[in-house]
Amino acid sequence: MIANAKKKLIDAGLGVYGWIDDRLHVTEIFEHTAGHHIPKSTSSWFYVFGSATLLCLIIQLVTGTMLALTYVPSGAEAYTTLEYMTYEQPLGWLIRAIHYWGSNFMVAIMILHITQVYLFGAYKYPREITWISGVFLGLITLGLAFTGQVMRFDEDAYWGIGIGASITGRSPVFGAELVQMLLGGPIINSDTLSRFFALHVFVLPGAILAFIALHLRMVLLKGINEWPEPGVLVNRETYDKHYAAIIRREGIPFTPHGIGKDLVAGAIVIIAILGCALIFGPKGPLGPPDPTEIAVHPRPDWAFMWIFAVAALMPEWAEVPAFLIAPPIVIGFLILLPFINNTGEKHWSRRPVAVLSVFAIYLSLGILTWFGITGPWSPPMLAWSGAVTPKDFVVNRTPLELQGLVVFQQKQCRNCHAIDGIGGHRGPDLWNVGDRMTHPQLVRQVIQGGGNMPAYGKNLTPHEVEAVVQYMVSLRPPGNVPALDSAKPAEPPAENRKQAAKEPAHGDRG
Amino acid sequence: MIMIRPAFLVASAGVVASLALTACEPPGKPPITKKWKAPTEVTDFTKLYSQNCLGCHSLGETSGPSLSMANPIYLASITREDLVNVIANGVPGSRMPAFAEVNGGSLTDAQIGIIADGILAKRQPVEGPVPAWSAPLGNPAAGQAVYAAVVESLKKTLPASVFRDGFLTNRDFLGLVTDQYLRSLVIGGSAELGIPNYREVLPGRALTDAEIADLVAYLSSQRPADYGKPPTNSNP
Repeated sequence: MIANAKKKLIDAGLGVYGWIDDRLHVTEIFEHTAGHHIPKSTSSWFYVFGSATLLCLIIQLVTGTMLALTYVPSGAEAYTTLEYMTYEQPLGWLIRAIHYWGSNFMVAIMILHITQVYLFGAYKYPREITWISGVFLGLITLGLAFTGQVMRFDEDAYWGIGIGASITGRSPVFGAELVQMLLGGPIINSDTLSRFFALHVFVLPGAILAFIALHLRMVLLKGINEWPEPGVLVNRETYDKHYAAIIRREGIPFTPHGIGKDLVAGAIVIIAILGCALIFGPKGPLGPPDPTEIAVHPRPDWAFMWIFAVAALMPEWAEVPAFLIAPPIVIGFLILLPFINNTGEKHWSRRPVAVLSVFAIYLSLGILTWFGITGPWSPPMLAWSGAVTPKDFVVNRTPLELQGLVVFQQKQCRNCHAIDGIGGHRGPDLWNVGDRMTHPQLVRQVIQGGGNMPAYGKNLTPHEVEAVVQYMVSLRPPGNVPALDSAKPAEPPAENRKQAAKEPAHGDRG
Repeated sequence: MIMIRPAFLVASAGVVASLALTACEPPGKPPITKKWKAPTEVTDFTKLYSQNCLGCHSLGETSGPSLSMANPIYLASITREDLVNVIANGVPGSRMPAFAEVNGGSLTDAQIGIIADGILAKRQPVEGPVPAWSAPLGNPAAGQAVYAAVVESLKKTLPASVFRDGFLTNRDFLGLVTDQYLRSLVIGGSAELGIPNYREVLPGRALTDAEIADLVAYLSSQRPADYGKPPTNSNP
């Protein structure tokens, strides 16, 4: 009785499915998409990065939609709604955190995907358009990451837009007009946020979905790149037959036989994003986007940290070449790569230039990112009033030397110069400056500046210069004499010792 | 034996995880204390002092180049009104800047009050009366003798190197400090300079009010008259 009812139910279900399939061709669509055949060799852990990037995008679309329910994209309210989501709205912080970490994972996994595709020679014939659409997907993903950083409308966002506008403003002929278009006015204002919101929520997601459609269509049309073998060369005349033979010989349907590792990788990505969100939380919001607030340390998100370091380290003359000439060349090269290197070896062991270039790019971007994270780009603006001077650098000094330290603090030298590690690090630590610079050299440096240091000649009275220089002369390791003038004959060692006894150095005890 | 289906286990784990998520505080959840505060909203004395004062004025645990705010004699001599005035308006002629917003500083009146109260809360009982924080200058000629006696006494304890370049009569030093600073230094002493307070600077007795005024007057008289003016340019 029950078995009979069950059979009837199944038959009815199949009947409904058949009716739908007859009209929508679901089975046919499945066989041409998720069920398409792939080389068995590509069912590998190296081939999961593309689907993992797509998974990240789906997470971003879901969490982004949830955030958009609360976020108000106006200059006056964006910051307060971010504070509300982070500190008051139930689980608002978690949605923000998942969106933030989802973005980080999406960029990181996308970089791994590009690296794998490049090292496996997957950009070669006949997958040129797959690669080119991938290049655009990469650029759009970075665009989403940057505009997303602006949505977090805090001090980082403000100065990030400022740097972006500054780079744009260097464009020839139309620089000012482009800045006007980017910011919606001559300065960063509510219109600026509206523009970036429109880009982040409408334009770029729309573009990324369009390019994903093209990318996946190309994957289905031209097939997933087979696992490269050393010595098996790509030849435009023979490759299509060669690939068809591989599919005939060892082809498996992606679903259900090839999707297993993608599903496991997807689960790992979800757990990792959730874990990071729960453990590390969302980023910011930091201080409000207020240009009058100077005690800030703006830094971009990690994906742009290397650009931040390049901008900080390069000489002024290199700005236009680095920001306006180099990017089109690099992007152009990436787009043209499949045409420049269309056939031949795919296996990395036969492509040393490809391997070395990946190594060099990873190394240089890694080092620049490290510099970007650790570099003392912004002086601690409260060091002048708050940085403590270790006792050894204070005691046993003359009243004038001690007043020199007061001048050093009050004139904000401390914001750039640390003493024994405490203070700013834009300039050198002065813990032993008396050991390496003479009194006249210090006077000249203070008055005239030089080497990134501004001239203080017009901001200090002669008494202040003398006091601060006397203090700096006293900064040297215990027992060391003050730096000697190399233009004068050296005094005998005994005289040096006598001089050292006359003048104290930090750490000396009476 | 009861069979438990895997789907039931997964669903149960999901429910437990959801409950755990809502019940406990994951480390990633930002505490309300991390919420950004405008600098003018800070009301914690320790934070205000460490950001605005500690670089120059020690509170006892660290060293600073200017007067220590942990000096019991100094704290006993100064009134709240004077302390607030110094913080808010600075000391013209010295390196002490004005911190009140109205003077271009970064602190509100309330924050200045919090700093003053926090400093004065560290007052310790001092035996007997202390000299007034501020007083007119005395007789410079008489002060010269007091200075000589004080230096003579200090030479017994301080290293010779400290007395270089005229010690307290150095023209550049005197050009950078006010008479009020000198008076506070003489009364309260300075741990950083190794100078004891007015009660201990001479062997066996304290400096009198008159001697303090005379000593400050003498030091003041050694200050160069042209201090603060730019050097004369003799070129046409």
